[in-house]
Amino acid sequence: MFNSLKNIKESTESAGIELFGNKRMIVFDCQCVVDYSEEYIVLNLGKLNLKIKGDGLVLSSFSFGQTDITGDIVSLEFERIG
Amino acid sequence: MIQLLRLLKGYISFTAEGGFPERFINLCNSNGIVLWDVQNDGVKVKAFTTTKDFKRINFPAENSGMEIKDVTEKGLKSFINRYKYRFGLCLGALIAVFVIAFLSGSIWEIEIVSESGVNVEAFTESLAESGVKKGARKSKIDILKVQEEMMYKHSDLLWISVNIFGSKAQVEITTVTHKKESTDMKTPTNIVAKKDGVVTLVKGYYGVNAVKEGVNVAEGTLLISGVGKNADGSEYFTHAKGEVYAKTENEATQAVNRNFKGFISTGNKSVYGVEVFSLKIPFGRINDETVNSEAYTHLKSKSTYLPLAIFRVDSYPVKETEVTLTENQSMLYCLSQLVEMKRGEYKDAEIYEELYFGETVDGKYILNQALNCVENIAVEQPIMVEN
Repeated sequence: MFNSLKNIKESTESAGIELFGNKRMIVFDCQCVVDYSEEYIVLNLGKLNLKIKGDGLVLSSFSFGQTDITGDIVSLEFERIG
Repeated sequence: MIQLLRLLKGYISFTAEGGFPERFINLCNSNGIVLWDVQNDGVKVKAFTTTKDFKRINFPAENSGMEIKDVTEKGLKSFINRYKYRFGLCLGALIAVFVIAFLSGSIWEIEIVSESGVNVEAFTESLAESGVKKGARKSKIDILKVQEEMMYKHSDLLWISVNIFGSKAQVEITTVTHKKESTDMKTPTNIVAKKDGVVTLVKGYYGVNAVKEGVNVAEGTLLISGVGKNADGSEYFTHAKGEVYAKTENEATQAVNRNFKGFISTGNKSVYGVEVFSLKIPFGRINDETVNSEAYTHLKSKSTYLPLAIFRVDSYPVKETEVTLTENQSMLYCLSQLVEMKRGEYKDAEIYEELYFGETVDGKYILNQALNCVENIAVEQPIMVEN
């Protein structure tokens, strides 16, 4: 468990995530948007991709590495790249 | 705050279709184009950006294969641009701003609050003289000075507070409650009859009763004496007090000329008008000499009176003509005068007989009234005592 968290930290480097219930989340140091629809958003955090699943997802703001996502967030999933 | 800034600076709402939305968003980000509230429904992307950034949006759009559609400019700048040639609208908005600013700085209503019951009209007039009136500028009212002036003008004023709430001036007043004058019981007095009559009841509170029931008394007869005798034969003086009821016979006469020059109403004329603050704007000519009544209907919003009223002035124009009264008209006029007098003079008396007799003598109608009643004929008369 601790190892996997350590790996995530190393993989995402300085990326950070803030969650406000399941209605809003802010992702810092996001590299780019990999995939985007109302049901899911995939963000690239360097060596990891973050897949946010939910309903009515909206990119409230996307600038200067800070991504603000609103909507009904159901789950977060990390995927290793390569 | 951000929303307000965006509204002031202006922003653009647009949709982008086809191509790769993710690539479009990433390219916008890498080119420093700020996007917000990006919604992707699978077919098209709806987003917002600043007016400045929108000029550079073609590059990311072309490189991601997206087509920009439904561009709508929003915010203050676009609002002004949309209406910049509509001078009437601008003028109206400008006038509205000035009118609101003017009205907000004026007094619309004056409310006088007093538990002791004051003459509201007199105080309203007095306040107007001191500058607190409808339409007065709030900034010109020196509350302390007004309070000081009012205290100086009205000697019966115990306390006054002028408060301005919005456009309403509330004046709280407390007046001196006048105490009932205490009866001077030290001066020795007699009770004498103020008119002729037959005594029916004697109620002596202080002093020595000088008459009994059934006695005829003339005006000035001593009824209750203020001089008494002690057991040792010496005399003492007191302030006689009491009530003496007697049957009295009273007569009164009222006369009226049956032929005289008088003013006859030639009809009723109503003039409507509008009152803004204290300024009256009548929609017609008002002859002040014949004005009979004024009625106001103030516009009200919830509990606040607006500084606007509709008024109606009823006037009765008259002309001088030779008037001849019939005997009935003369009788009614005289009767009304006598009844009015009776109500005032005999309000505490018990009238048991009332007779009227009228006749016309030398063009005059004379109505004689005979009133037989039981009334209090006691009146105090000071006793002259040599020191």
